[in-house]
Amino acid sequence: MPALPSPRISRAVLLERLPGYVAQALVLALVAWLLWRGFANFIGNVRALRVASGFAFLKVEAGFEIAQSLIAFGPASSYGRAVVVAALNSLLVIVLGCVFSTLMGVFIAFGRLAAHPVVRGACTAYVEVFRNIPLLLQIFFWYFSAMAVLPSVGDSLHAGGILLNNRGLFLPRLVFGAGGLALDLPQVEGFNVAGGFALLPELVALTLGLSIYNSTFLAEIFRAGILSVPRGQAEAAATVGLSGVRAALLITLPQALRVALPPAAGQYQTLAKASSLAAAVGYPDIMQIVGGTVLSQTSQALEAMALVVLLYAAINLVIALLVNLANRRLLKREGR
Amino acid sequence: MTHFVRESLIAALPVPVDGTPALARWRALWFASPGMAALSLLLLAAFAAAGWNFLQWALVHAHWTGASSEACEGDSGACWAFVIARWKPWLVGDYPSDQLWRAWSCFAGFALFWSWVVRRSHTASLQRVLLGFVLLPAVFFLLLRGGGPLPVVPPTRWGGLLLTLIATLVTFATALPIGLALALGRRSRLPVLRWLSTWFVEGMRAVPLLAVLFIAATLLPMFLPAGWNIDLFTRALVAFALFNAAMAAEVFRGGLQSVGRGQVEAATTVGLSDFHALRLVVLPQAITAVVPALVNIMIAVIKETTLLSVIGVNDLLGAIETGAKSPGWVGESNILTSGHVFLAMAYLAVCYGLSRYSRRLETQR
Repeated sequence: MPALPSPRISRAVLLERLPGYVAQALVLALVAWLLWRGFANFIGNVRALRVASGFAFLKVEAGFEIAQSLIAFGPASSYGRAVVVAALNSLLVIVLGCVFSTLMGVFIAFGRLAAHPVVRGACTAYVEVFRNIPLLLQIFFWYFSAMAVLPSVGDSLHAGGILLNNRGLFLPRLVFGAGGLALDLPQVEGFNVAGGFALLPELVALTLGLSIYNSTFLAEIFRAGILSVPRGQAEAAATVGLSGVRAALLITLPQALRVALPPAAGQYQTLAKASSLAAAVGYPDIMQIVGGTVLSQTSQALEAMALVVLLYAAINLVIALLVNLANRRLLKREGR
Repeated sequence: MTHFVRESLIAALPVPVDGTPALARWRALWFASPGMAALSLLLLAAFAAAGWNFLQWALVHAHWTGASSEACEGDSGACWAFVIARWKPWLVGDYPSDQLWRAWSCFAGFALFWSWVVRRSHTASLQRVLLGFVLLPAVFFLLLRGGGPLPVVPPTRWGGLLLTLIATLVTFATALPIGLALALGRRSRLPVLRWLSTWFVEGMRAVPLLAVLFIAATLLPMFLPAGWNIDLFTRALVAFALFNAAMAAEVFRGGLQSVGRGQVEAATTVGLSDFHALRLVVLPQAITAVVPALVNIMIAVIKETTLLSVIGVNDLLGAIETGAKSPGWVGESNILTSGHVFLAMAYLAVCYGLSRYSRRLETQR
């Protein structure tokens, strides 16, 4: 809008702007009318169905179990605590997905730029294949097809204290015992696994799917970042005697991150939103617990979905803040 | 007195020839060092083994014929009999058998339209292509739904590839105009339009698509007057349209920003009104600039339609998933795996083809 020469608006200017004012008033009135009609219908429907409203249900006993909880949770716990458990489960899978997809993305990005034709071809094929298959299909494949091939508990696959069977992945756990730090190894006992730290098969399939799918997009982002670093940097690193890997990690990657971090932030947000596909395989995340179990038990669809939307929006905001912070530190360290 | 300035030109050097023969170059690349050589052989062996095993599974030991899971006993090979025998559920869903010509004409009509779109030269008739993308889904929807002389087939009986195609096309046709309107609103001089568009776009982008679909499935009916019964598929289409409109709005905003300020100023100078400047000068340039990005949106929509199976709409993925649970096909674990591999190849072919097309458009410009 051009700055006005004087605070008084002349008649000609007012006449010119009148259609704009009228249009805005009409749009505002239409939106307000739609919202009002919607809420009037909603209140009518809610009264007809005799459903409670408001967030008082958060203090009520939930009465269901959650297959995986990072904090203590039982049927006697409240709905509010169930929401917290679900949010923590979501955060767990998002953090795992971000870490693994970043590591794989960096690896694939360097692989696509390698001189070796087989390495380059394999990395390009990886990106093209896993980027073009829908994420949900990939998660279903890992969950239903790949997990079905795994042995039952009795014939678990062993490797260095790690157990893998169709009940999930079991990792050793550090415990503080009487004799100091001890390792609690998972062990097969009858038809169950005792001890250790259990990762649900749903979590394993979801993490695999999210990491692989998003690593293809991150690989392209990192590749663009690496290509933006002038060749002279890597050549100078080789001249002063750094090995290939050290030159990549110490010289190329930090400079590539400067270009790659903003688009990578968008990809992390996409990953966080895509983690809601957990509901399709039954991993107890925000979507599954709040948008599924809590919604159907309380019938308070508006409140439950509002919680879901707010939680995801908050997670997105936190990711944006964290990446901004990292970006600022990166720029400051380089004195830009 | 010595002269330091040359008085005659030196003869030009011969063009350098690459002296290394192909074999030596190949060896330098693959077997530069013992480590590299080991890596090359290891990778080649791994890929050969993986490819060989896959071929064994997918072709040599595969089961091709049969009407139930008994045809695919043993886990040694793929069960293509499942995909072949149940062609109807994953192709058209539960569409009535005597009305199938309507589904086939949709597939054929789309194939004709798409071949025309791909073969035309890039700059010509973009308007007609976009018009086709808006009109075609409407025609398909009416034809499949029926009414008048045609018996009505409700969307609950559509399914499989047919439903995925319709969902993709309808989403594309509705999301693009809404997205363009939102992008224009976001750049408008009128503050109310600007705020509303910005809030809508940013709000949609912060929420997972699955949450929007859940809202459309569980919450939307509560906001409608009692007695309005909109079927689940149509509600899901509304969710897709609004969600992807926000994505398209960002693409169009980028396109609008790529048109220089001077273009509008020149258009205004020669006496065009604001509307005509937009319609005749800005939009053609902005839309042409974002065509590759629009193809990318289409890829995203195709992949997103798989989420329909989560809320219980029978799309291509849902048809295969329910097919593997149907009587006669339960029991063998390689049945669902075969279905997954088949779907993965189908989606891969379509989405990879489209992404190549998008890249071609980008380089043509």
